[in-house]
Amino acid sequence: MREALTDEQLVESALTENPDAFGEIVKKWERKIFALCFGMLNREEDARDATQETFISAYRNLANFRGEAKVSSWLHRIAVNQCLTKQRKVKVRGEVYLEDENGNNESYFAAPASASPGKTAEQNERLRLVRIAVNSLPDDLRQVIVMKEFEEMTFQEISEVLDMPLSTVKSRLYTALKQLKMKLERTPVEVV
Amino acid sequence: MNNENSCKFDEELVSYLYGEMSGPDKESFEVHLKGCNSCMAELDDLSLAHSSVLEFKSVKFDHLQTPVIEIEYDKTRFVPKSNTEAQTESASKPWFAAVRDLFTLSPSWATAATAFGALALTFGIFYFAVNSNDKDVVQDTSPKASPSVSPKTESNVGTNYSQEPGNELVQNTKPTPTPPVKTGAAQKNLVDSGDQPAVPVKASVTNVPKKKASKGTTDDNKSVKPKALDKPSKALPKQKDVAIPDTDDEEDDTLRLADMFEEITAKNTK
Repeated sequence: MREALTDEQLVESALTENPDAFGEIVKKWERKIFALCFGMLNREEDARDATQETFISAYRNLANFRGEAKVSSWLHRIAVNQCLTKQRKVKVRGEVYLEDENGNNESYFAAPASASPGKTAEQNERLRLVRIAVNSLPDDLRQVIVMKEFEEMTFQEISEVLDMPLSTVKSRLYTALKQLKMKLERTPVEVV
Repeated sequence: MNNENSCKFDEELVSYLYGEMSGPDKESFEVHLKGCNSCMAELDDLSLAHSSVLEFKSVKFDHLQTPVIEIEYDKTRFVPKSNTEAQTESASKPWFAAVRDLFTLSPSWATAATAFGALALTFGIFYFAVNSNDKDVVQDTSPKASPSVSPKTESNVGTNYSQEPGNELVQNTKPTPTPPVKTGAAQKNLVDSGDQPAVPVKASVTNVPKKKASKGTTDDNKSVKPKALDKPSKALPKQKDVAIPDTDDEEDDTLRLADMFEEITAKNTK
């Protein structure tokens, strides 16, 4: 049975003999990158665009990939930059990025059909607060918590992707969770 | 609530919270947790934040379909140097550089072209050489007569026989330029050629009993030098005074001689 190629081997193959090898990289990372983008942007449409742009940008600049960093790190860096660029554009346009003024965004929430309306509203409100709290975190803390919660990456993987010590990753996550807790406690859940 | 934890087990807390602690480390930390309220409180706070984000993710993200990434894979993109650089270089390259590059890039092509050119040149030289030899051979192999011919020298004036429309031999009295010296069969039957170089016969004819000829025809039974042809010859049959076209073509001379022999032979038989 053929051994699975590493990300770096797939990049080398894509550069030299088989451009389709990049598709293997896409298949491996598309869900995680999508999760990262969604956790950073909180909007499905924007997350899809950012994911597409991330891989297109990676493919276009594949020849410039020096191999000094891991492919996962390189993809995450591109994805985070794409998300930050989108966020800046939204701020420039003056859009309410996180939620509408009424706080009711049916497109954001997929409430279970079996849930009662009251619970659904409470849940929606709670989730709205969580989204606000996450997006209010500093970028470095938000990235760690999104990678941990949305991408479900291990500390070791996050350490490799972000190219930082394991202890630093854990410390940042601890800080992020602590700040989230404080923000959630400050904002009471309002159920209309 | 006092959130400050004096134990400073921040890293262990998150590792334990996300299930990335195992073995002896986990067991020892669990023992510590049981005896440390501060760490337990910290763990509760972290768990609340963790569960909130987890719920957010499960409700809002887990059901979403992964986007289909559409990328047009271009095999020409991946070259050692960028395509833009290659295109820029090719666009600004002068024509002679392009030709030079063509030979550089495909030496086998250049070699084949050179070999073909050499073969063509060799063939051309051989062809022309053979043709010129053939002319000499045709000139000396007159089937019915064995004319003794005298070689031409530079001093000789070339006179040619031309064939009249009535197949009468006429002599071209106009001086013609000296033809190039050729060797081979043309050298046989040379008479009085001790001092004469080996040159092809132009128009000397012997054994022409009676044939019309213009002035300047040769004497019969003699190897006639081209000069002698200038003098009127009695042996040759009378010939009408007609304009003799000037030609230096040896092949025409050969043909006229042959025709003349035929006529003479025919007349003799009559």
